[in-house]
Amino acid sequence: MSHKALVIDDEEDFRLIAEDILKSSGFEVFSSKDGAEGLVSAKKFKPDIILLDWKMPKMDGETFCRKLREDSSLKKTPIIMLTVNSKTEAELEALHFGVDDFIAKPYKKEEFLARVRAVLRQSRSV
Amino acid sequence: MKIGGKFILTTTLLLTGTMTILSYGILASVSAIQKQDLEKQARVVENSAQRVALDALLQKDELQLVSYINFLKAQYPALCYAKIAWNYPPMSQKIELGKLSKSSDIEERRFDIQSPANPNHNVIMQFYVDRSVLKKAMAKSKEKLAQVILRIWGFSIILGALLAWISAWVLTFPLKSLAQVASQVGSGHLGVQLEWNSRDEIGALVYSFNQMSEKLKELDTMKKNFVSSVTHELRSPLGAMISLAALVKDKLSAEETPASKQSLDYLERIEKNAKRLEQFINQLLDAAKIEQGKFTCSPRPADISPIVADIVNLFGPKAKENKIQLSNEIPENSFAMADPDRIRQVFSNLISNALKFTPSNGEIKIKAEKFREGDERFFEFSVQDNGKGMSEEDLKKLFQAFSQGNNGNAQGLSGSERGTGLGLYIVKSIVEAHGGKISVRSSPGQGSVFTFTLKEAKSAI
Ligand SMILES: Nc1ncnc2c1ncn2[C@@H]1O[C@H](COP(=O)(O)OP(=O)(O)OP(=O)(O)O)[C@@H](O)[C@H]1O
Ligand SMILES: [Mg+2]
Repeated sequence: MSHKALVIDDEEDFRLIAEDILKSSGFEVFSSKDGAEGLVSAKKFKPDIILLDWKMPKMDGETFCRKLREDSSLKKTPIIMLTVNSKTEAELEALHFGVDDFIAKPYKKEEFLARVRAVLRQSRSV
Repeated sequence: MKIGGKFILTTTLLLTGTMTILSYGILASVSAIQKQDLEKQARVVENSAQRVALDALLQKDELQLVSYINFLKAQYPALCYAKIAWNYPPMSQKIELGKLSKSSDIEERRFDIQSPANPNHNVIMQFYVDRSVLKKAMAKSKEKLAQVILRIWGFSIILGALLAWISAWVLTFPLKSLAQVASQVGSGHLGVQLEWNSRDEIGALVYSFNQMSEKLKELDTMKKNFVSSVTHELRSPLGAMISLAALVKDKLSAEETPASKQSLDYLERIEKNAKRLEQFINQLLDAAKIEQGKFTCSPRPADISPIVADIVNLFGPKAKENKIQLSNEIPENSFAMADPDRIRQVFSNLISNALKFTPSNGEIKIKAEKFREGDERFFEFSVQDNGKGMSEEDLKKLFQAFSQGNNGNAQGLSGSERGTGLGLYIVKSIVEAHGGKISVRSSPGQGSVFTFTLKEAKSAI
């Protein structure tokens, strides 16, 4: 069975890129353009992993994280944060809000997939 | 000189001035009054002496006159000597009282008194007044007066200085607090306010200072938000371009047509340019953060050797292309206190500079040495090339933002090599944010060595 991934990003280009990479590696991909929509999709599709942009209108990454952790059926879903901030800042923020990993945009296909797989492996072993 | 000192000095000077003028005036008028008094006294004395002389003439009693003159002499020490010529036929007598002193300040007064009944009966009195005695008495009382004035003077100067000190303190206290708060604002604590409510000029000053501080804070937040939103707006579309180009490249490289080959070449060029722009933006943003004091590093134990190995790998093809020997001599397990991403920036800047400014067949060496200073152990990392080197003049401005010197502006450099001159500025800031020092040795044609220090990590985790 293929893994389900949810991509939440307000920018269509970045959704496309993530979708392309994930689909070509056999993921089933859903995407949403903001946190509120993403929350609805998450409840509906129960993804194995969420790729979340940090700066978004309506509901930003931080609020999304908090809301997701409140939902008992979803709170274990691993999250990877996608950010255009420099790495160190992103790292600090990510640790603070219980994000599992972060990837700085723009990313290389190989790095992206490696991180996604590592996080999935980790979440399954817990 | 401090405000308090100035206050005390001016008050003292003012008091001294006024007291000098005042005491001069008082002493002068006292002298005038004394002189008048003395003249009056003298006249009274002379009048009564004349009256007594007349009485004595009428009563033919010369003893009465003598005793009176003796009495006068006792009363007025200045009357040092008197001569009386008593002429009352048949009796005539000369009487001298006292002694004529040798003082040169003797004034003689002569009175001729005739009996109204008979002009032949007369008394001639000669008084010798010693002026120096009078002067001495006058001087003595003036001296006493001067002493009193001096005492008042001293007292008022002490009191004045005290008052000056108090008012200076009252005035400077808020100014001092204001200076303190102002220096806080100066060192970056924008928005600090000073509590001071007084309805005077200082109150107004503090009020406008507080407003200024508030305004600065607002402006600063605006600037910060601007930088971060610009960061996002610049990086985000560029990131999309770079990622999309990579994806298309992936798909194209599966095909093997001449057209796809050319497209691939163009895509690679697009990617290269986008990356160049991205690097420039990142450098600018780093520089902006440094300017704002917002540039942070979080040093932790990190092995430097894989970081350098990675960069050397990355630059390998380029070094090969230019026939430059790039050797990494950093031993394995070189654990230093370092923020890995930042130190990566440092090495890649230094190595890219060395590659840029070293002609073919050159050599670049990256080394590490350990040393101790007191209780602490350090690494000294160096990037050494045998390229163009730099002039004395370029060395001076080397670590300043946007300074490129002769080499950086050289015509021979390709577009992507031209750079911005921010590289070493950021490198220096990173090294210093780690508590290290960076230095350079170079001369034209002799190559360059850049060295920087980092603390050794106590235990490798
Ligand atoms: N290894 C070196 N040999 C000779 N000159 C050097 C070397 N390293 C730096 N320089 C001189 O110092 C200048 C500043 O270097 P810096 O790295 O700050 O800027 P840049 O390399 O010109 O641009 P950037 O790094 O921002 O792309 C260079 O332009 C060059 O003149
Ligand atoms: Mg440089």
